[in-house]
Amino acid sequence: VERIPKLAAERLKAISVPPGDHPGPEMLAAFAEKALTERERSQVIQHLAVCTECRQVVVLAQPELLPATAPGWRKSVWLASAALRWGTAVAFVVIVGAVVMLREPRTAEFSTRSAVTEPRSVNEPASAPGTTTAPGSPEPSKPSSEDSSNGSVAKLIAPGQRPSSLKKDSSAGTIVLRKDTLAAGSRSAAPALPSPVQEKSGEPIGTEVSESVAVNGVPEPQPAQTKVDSFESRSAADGAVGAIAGGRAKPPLAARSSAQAASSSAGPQAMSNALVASKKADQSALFNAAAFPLPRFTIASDGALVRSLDSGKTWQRLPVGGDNVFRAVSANSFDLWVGGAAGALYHSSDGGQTFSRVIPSFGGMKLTADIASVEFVDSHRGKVVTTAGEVWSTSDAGQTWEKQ
Amino acid sequence: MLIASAVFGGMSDSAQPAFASLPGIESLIGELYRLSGGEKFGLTQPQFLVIVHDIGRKYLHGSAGNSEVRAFYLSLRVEELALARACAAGSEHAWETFLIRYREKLYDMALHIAREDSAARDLADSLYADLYGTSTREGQRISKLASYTGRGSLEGWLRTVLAQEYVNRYRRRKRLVSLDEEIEEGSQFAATDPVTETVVDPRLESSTDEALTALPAEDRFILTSYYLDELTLATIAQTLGVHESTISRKLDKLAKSLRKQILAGMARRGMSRRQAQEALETDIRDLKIDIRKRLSQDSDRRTFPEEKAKARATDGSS
Repeated sequence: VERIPKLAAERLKAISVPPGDHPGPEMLAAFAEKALTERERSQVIQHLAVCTECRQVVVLAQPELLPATAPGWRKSVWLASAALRWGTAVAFVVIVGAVVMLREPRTAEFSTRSAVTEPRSVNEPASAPGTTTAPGSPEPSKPSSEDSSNGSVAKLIAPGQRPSSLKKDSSAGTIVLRKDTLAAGSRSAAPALPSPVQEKSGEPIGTEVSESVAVNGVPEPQPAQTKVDSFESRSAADGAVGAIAGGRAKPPLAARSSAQAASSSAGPQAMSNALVASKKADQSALFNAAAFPLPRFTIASDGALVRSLDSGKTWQRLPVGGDNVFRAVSANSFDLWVGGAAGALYHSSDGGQTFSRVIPSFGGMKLTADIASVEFVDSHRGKVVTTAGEVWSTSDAGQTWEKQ
Repeated sequence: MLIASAVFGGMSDSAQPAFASLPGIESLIGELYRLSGGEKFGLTQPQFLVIVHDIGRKYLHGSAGNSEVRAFYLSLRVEELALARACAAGSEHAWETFLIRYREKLYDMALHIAREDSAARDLADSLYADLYGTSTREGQRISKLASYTGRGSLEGWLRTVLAQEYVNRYRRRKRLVSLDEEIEEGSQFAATDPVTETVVDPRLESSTDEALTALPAEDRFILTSYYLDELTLATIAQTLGVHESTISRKLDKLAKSLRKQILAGMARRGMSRRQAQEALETDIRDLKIDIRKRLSQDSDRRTFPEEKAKARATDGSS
């Protein structure tokens, strides 16, 4: 039934002031039995419209419709929405079910893949623990030109709103470390995996190990690690095969091929690592395919601002203006602030196509110190901190500034 | 019979209403007396005539025409009327008949109303006392049955009297309880919330009142029954003697037209259509929340630079 505004219900109650004299029981009884004349009936109903007590009397005095029926007050208003709430519960179950069903085939696919690659590692007993370091060590320190920015990332900013991508990238700072550990030896084969796996990976290697890694990898999707591991798998593959050319249109495929390449040459550990990575790359593709990628920005090691338009796969340097060494960047979608040495502060509101220099000033002072961090919470409010400890804040997109 | 004549004794021929002299009415009442079977309870025809005229005077206006008066008298439940009045007059036979007919029923009715055995017994017993007549006026026992007028069934009347008694008791109890609660909680001293009072646009309020008071009584009855008393559609339908779906359709229609009327009222009070709609859609409670939210947002914004600066300072020092 249609609802009435709450105010209407409240006013209905407020203006219902029953007159002093109530109709007698004989009138109410006669009303209930339709024994009143039209005139009398309208008088009674006029009273009933404003008198809660007489309405109660009439309702209570009603003969039972069914033996079990008590006078009919609705249990409560929220019960009326019971159907809705049950519907929500059912919908939830259906959604969860659907998600589980959708994920199931992926796991199956993966396990068949691991089954396929397993014999290879069995056929190659020569790749003992010691040998894994050999192909792994020389290459990761020499990333391909494309991925170079990844390797030298000091801080990666993700302007995307999705927390998953943010998480992925926030861990990107550990990439270098990962590569080092990968290069350092066989123990680092699966650094992201829990300790039992690591312990096992130290043992003499066989099919068993690769299986255990694969199995451990399956029930433990770590979205935060996805990006890192896909990088890892690539660098491992780079190391094993030599170089896999750039322009990988489909990361999962590339990761898969790299996994196989790794398994063929780098031995079971690299293979199992790559398998885990390929599995995670699948997930990463799942995440990325869902959303239109927003540009990402970071500062390269030489202080240049770089941008990726494909969720971090490729990076381009952006000419900002002047010969600046940047240290910090803050981006909200297409609104971008970048700061660096000697008070260089630039703002772009078109995702880095054009920049304008901003020189914050407050009380006759200008910001000239080296900028250590730039942080904007939205397109208007933000602050810049210098290496000298000055804090400059704005709440009007850089029109006016305050210095603390 | 002594008691009976005492009860009916106050009526004289001179008190007879004007329509008593209408042609054919006398013979009609004679016929009704025979139908009532009052004779077996010791009720005489003159006594019956007085009772019926008395009822007629109560409900019929002086200028009522012949057919109207006839229809009215014919609509009376004369058999039950005679029984009730004979009981009130103290006829043993009438009481026996009454108890055979209604003793069981009365308790069932009370249980139906009170929904709990001891309360139902209590309720039924108190009604028996009233029916028998405990209250006295000038040393005479006054039975509640003397107020039954034959309009509608005696059973329906009994149910209504029970319900009325139950509601009165409940109200008395609630008053006591709520008073106790107030004293316990100290809520009788509670200050009124200033936010609520200032929030509702007076134009919205007066438009709403206007729209509500303009409603026909029956529509308002349906609205209050459904939205305030939270009665089921079936119960409202039963009360009004219509089908459930009729009430459901009517409620939908009423809610829509009420909204329209309120909006029109606000337009007459000089509000733009958009303003009026916004005012109507905004719930009082929502407004209260909004205000709280706005206040907290404002304070957030104010504290933003200092808080962040503090955080920054501690970061830098560590």
